[in-house]
Amino acid sequence: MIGVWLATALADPGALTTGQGDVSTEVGLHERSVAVRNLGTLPDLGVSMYDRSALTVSAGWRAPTTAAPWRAEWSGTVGATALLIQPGMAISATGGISAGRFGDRSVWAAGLVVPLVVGTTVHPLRLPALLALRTDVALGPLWLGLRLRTGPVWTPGAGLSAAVEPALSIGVGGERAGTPRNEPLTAPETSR
Amino acid sequence: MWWMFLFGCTPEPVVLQAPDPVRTGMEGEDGPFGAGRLTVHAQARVLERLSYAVYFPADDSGDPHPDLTAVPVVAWVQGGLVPAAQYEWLPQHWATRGFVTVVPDHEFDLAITQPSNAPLALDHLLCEQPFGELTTDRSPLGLGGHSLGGVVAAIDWASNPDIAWLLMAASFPAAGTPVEDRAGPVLGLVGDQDGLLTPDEMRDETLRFRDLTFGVQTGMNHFGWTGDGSGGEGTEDGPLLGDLPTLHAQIHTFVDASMDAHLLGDTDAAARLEQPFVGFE
Repeated sequence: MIGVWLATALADPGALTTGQGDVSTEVGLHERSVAVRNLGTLPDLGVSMYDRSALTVSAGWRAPTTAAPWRAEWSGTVGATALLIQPGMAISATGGISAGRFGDRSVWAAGLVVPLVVGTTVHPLRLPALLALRTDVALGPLWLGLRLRTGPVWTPGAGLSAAVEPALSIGVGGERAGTPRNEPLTAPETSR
Repeated sequence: MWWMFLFGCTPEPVVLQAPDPVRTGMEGEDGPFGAGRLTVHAQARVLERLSYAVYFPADDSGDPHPDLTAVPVVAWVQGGLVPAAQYEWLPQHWATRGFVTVVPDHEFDLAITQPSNAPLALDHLLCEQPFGELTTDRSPLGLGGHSLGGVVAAIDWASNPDIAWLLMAASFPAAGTPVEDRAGPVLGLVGDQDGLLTPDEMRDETLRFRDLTFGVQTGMNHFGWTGDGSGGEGTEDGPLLGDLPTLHAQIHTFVDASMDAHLLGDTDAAARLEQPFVGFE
């Protein structure tokens, strides 16, 4: 069972952009993901599987606007996607911003994420604009979280469709939620 | 076998019904061909998996019938929150009469979330031709849907002039759908016991179609369009007054005549459409 889970729990930009901890995974309705962060000079890295039909390897980063718990956070990823049902390739690029409270033991945030994909298949472009809600709670060394991303997807040749992606998130290790990337873990929090 | 799970390879066809040359395909009876079903997966909207069932006329061994070429292809759109498989009684019957039907899945069984799945499935089937010459780009195209599925089907029909025939089953076009802008035969059917859409409401809304044939079935309710009449729990649907197989056979008679007339160019069927059908006002 664990083997099956690991085989399908490859990663998506979601885990890369909103996961907590050095290693995190998201298991959603369509996407399964794993992300690894704090790799020194390397960017954060992630892998995602979408609907057993697309496998993406991505690099990404996050940029908090401040060290304060109440803040906004920009995120971005770029990746290469292998299309699996009708073999092909695609390039993905995700931009997002979320704002909320990024505390030591919990995170509550809402934002907008645009995971653009340009492909070589019959549909050359996929352009979603998604509302992204997230909450995470620290339990010992683990971060447990809930995600919901929903919004319209525009695909030339296929018109508009709706995306609804609820997901569970698990993270472990490393950074604390209230600590911006590349800042020391002991950095003081200026407000609560 | 794990890779089959991972990549969703297409399974083998399922034989639903054996051929029988004694069956005439008239008066609501099944046709002489067998019926098979194949589940197909396609890449859609770059990343997504589009799954759809294909119902096809089959031979003794369950393979696509070798004597048929470029047969009409109909896409069927499920009603809201009704599993697509609940409508199998329709495409299985159509397969025995020599028609191919594609029935796409939709997120949460709500076609409005992915309104282009039916034309995407049609395009994929005609492009990939998994049945060889059975379906080609010369195949006449039809579209149909029940309830919310009909609303979505009307959107696709209005924007795609290649679709030659439309079936609206207890359904009507949404206010913003420009169905007045194109011609083409449309069959609208509703039951007089439908508690979600009365015949008067449907007639008023579907009169926007330029070439509408309209029928009101006695004893039929809204969810009688599903295979076992289920799906209406918790709704204000009316009672089903009559035996469901009999009601379905009456629908087959009316729909078969319309399909034959408009997708096969059968002039006798066109003449039958001018006459009253048993069970319909």
